[in-house]
Amino acid sequence: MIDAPVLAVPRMRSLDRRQCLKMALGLAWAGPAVTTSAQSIKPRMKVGFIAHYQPYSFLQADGSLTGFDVEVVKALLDASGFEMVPVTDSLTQLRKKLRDSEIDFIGNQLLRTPENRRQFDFVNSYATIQLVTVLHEDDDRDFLSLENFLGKNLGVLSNTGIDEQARGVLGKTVRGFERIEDALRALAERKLDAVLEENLIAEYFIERDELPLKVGTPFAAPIRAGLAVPKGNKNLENRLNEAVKNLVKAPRFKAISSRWFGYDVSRPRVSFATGV
Amino acid sequence: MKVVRAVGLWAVGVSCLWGAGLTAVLAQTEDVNDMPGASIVRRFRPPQVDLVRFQPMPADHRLLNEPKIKLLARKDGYEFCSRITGAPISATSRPMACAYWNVKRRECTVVTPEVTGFNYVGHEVRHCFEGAFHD
Repeated sequence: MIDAPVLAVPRMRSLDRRQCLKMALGLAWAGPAVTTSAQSIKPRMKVGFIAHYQPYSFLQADGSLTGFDVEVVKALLDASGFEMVPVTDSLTQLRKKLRDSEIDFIGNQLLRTPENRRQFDFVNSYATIQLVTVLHEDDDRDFLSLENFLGKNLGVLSNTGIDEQARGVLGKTVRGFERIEDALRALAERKLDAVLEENLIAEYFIERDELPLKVGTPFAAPIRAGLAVPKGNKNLENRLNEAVKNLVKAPRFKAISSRWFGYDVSRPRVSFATGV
Repeated sequence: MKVVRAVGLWAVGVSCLWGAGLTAVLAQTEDVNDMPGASIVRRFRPPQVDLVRFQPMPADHRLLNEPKIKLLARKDGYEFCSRITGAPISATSRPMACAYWNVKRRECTVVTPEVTGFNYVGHEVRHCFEGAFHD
């Protein structure tokens, strides 16, 4: 699953009428941010990805870039007639590169925090991300609030918001882990009662490592996130929004999603009925 | 068919809607035929309008076919549903029930306050078959 390289090698082709039209449309689509290569018939877009962010974007041992976001963004750009030129770095550096117009947009879904919204505009999300409990697959207990973990062993990723929040309620029974995969492995070995983590990260490690675990109760509302585009570039934002809207209905997205997580993650996994 | 004892006849009534298509399971289970009032519940048929509204799509169009459904009636039902869905609690509106599901495991949980309505539970149970169907 994670071995497939996603970087297309540009190929030399003669331009036919359709391709010329596609290129012209592409240039009109994103304006000056688009560059073309002598080796490629497609206009190119530089997309920034976090270098070590499993399962969304990460470098493999052979140096190739892969990840769910990488494949989705490539599909978005393919459908729009663009070639993706990935740029990998830390999130801090990617923010700087976006501000300095060194990249066209960030290919990972960033949180729509007030600070991020001051700096960037956001494309609509293509995946539902939510903080959830992870339990052993044989465990039928219902942990619906932090108070339900009193006297239990809860694992979290160290130095995160949920780590701080959990320790505030539960104290020292919360175990922090430097890597979430270590927390999940401890849970699989029944050294913990549960782990709190984002659903997609948990689903990925459960699938990848074939852990006897399951994603359980949501702990918070779905997180608002999206691809970050330069502030004010409504043309790019609107076009990517349209591309996302079309892609999530397409078989290609479902195939990508199923390969990484085992199901279509574009749809919410919670619902509610309102009344008075 | 097994149902959750904690929610009693509520679960029975909802389960009757889907007959053999719905298997509700929980830690504490009991055969509906052994429960008080079982003969009355067996004869109960919801109004036709509700059947239409709550009828899940055919099996090949469902997100979860033959899901395992758990029903939880909780004192903090409104607050829990608000927290996991983001639906606000206000003077004019609040979440009366909610559901969450695991597609891969075909498991679904419906959460309600202790006092709720047949229509809210039915609506959420339909989500257990079809996932997010509102848009």
